[in-house]
Amino acid sequence: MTQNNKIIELKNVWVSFEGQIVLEDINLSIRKEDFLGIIGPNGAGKTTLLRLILGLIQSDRGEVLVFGRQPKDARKFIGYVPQTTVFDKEFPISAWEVVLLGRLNQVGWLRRFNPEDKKFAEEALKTVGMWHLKDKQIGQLSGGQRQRIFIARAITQNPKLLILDEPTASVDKPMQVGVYDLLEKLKKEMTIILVSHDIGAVASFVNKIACLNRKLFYHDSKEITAEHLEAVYECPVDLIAHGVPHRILKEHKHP
Amino acid sequence: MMEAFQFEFMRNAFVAAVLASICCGVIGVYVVFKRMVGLSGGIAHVAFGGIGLGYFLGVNPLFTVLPFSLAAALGIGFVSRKSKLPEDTTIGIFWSIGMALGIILIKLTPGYAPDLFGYLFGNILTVSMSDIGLMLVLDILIVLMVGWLYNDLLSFSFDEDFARVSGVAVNFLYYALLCLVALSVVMLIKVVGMILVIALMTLPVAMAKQYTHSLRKTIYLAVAFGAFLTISGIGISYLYNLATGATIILTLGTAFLLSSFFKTVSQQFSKMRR
Repeated sequence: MTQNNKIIELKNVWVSFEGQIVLEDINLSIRKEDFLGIIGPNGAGKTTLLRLILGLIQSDRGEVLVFGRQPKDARKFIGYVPQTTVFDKEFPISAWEVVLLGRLNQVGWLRRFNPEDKKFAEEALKTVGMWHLKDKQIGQLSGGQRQRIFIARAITQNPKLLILDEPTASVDKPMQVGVYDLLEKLKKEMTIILVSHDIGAVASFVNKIACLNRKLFYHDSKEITAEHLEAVYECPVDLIAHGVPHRILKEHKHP
Repeated sequence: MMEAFQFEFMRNAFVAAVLASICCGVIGVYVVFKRMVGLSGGIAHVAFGGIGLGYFLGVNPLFTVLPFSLAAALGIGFVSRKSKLPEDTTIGIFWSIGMALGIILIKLTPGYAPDLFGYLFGNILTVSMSDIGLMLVLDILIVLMVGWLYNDLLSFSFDEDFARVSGVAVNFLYYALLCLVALSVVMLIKVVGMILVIALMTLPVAMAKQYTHSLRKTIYLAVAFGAFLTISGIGISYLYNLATGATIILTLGTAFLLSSFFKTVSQQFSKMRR
């Protein structure tokens, strides 16, 4: 692997809130065409790590480079799918309007969408299989349908990197597979990072896994070890590894 | 009732009602859906400090309340975003300090404070032609800004993190909205008074949102409901000789309760038929 296909580089990054260390000495490189799943329990700093990459928060120490630049300057390459468990179901907006808002980073000073923007939105809605529901108010959709709409909003921006925060948190079990199938399709066109506390689901779809609980355990592969999981979840592995395909849980000696 | 139109002050009151409804409907939609009701209520009450300052300096309080409210809006906004205090704590602090300041300044002013009650609870019947001119200018400003930045405001209100990542000037929109709230408060002091301003911003929107799933239509409906109900309120207060500001708010409140009631009943009814 050469240096220049690293699209994200974090070097010795520390983040704290009100004196509490949230991320401790994080080192992470993500390469082009990776499909990386970051797992960890609630409160492990997963969302914080994503917000750092998006330039929504600053690190106390260390270096964050996204596409070789400061995170804020790299946003135009990133499609972001925020966590949607907290969101106003009454908000008067249709699925179509939500998706179209993804194009707001392309419009000129008049701040109006042109036919090309609408074409992009239409294609995105068709890609995620939601074109027939475009006129529904966002609160009337199911969790899985809503998640597809938010993914569509992100891909209207033609991103090189797609970042998803707990994409299946508000989706019922049978619909979750649909969301992962969609990501499977998208990973051919873009690099994907997703965070989740649901190890089982993530492990079967991504091609690289990192474990996060304040510290990050990552070997640039799909290999996670029992020690990692124990360190991250602070409980015996046989409790948490339930549902994890065995091939990824290799015996592994730490250097 | 019709003879009311013979009086210039009544005609002015009706025009002021329509102009106030435009600004309340448009700004109110963002106040309600961006969850800035508490913030706006805080700004409205801090403005009392500006009234007190006017009395103290011996100038027309409307001249002091304008810069005071703008400063308060930016102050509350800045502190609630940047400090570690929860937003509602910040609002509570500003709210009470602003009002306390107003009371001290009025007490320090020798003599009697004329029209104090009018600033607190409004009197739309005293609206002058120059007030109407001022309201018209503010309405035009608000409509132009919201018309231009409609998509940005929609993205900002719906999902602020996503808006920021996709290059929307989130901070500008936040402070601009707060400033427009402050300007609206100043403009509405004459109509319903600073204590009741927040009702005029929220009630028509709360009612409008029962009938549509589009933000644009919510704005139009809120303006229409606001204008109709405010004018009705003025009419009722004229017929029964009641305080206008309070009558307007009670008219809006009653309409909102009736509308919610019929909405619930009709929903239950359509469920039963299914």
